Amino acid sequence: MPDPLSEQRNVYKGEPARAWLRLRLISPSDRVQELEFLVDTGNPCAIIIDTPTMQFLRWRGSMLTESNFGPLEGGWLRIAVPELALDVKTLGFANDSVVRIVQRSHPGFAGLVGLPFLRMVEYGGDRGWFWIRPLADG
Amino acid sequence: MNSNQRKNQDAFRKLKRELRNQYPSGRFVAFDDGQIVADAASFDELTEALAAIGKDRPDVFVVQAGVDYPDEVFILL
Repeated sequence: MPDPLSEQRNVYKGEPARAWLRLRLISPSDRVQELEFLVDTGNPCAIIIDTPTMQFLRWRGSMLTESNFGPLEGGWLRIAVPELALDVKTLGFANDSVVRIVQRSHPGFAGLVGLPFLRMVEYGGDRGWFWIRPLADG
Repeated sequence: MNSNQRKNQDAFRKLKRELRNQYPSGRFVAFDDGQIVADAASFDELTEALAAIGKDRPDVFVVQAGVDYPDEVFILL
């Protein structure tokens, strides 16, 4: 049985029910925003947030990529999950259309988390819950 | 996108292949004003290097050498 303190376990929520995560995003000036994100293993971006949030939280800029929702503006973000002792800087993207569509599932979602982020942890789900844990090999 | 971001984006596109040849895979490379201004093995070391040259700013453009950044992605929602 995993240590409950070393995992984050969330009941699906939204309409339709969606897997989600609570992530702590930390700005270069140490301002913290704790936000909820819809999880989609098919998303090729680690994280997608809206443009104002990116402007506020980004540590560095990065590349612009095209998508079927329009341009994705890259930026390096600091993401922490205290339960997992995870604290990383990773490449995320800003796109307001993606966030608006995600919010149709639940208005509380601040964006979308995808496979590049999920590969930094172990993840899984069952009938009622979605969870993440630290990688077994650290 | 402001003019500095555009310059950096253009410079990255031009140098994409050279980055792969000139730097170890995964190395963090920073662009400012359309030029490479620093590189380091980790993001935090790059931040120190940028601070040392007075460029510890959020609009500095950073990529990792050797990483395949697609020009276009498809998002299913």
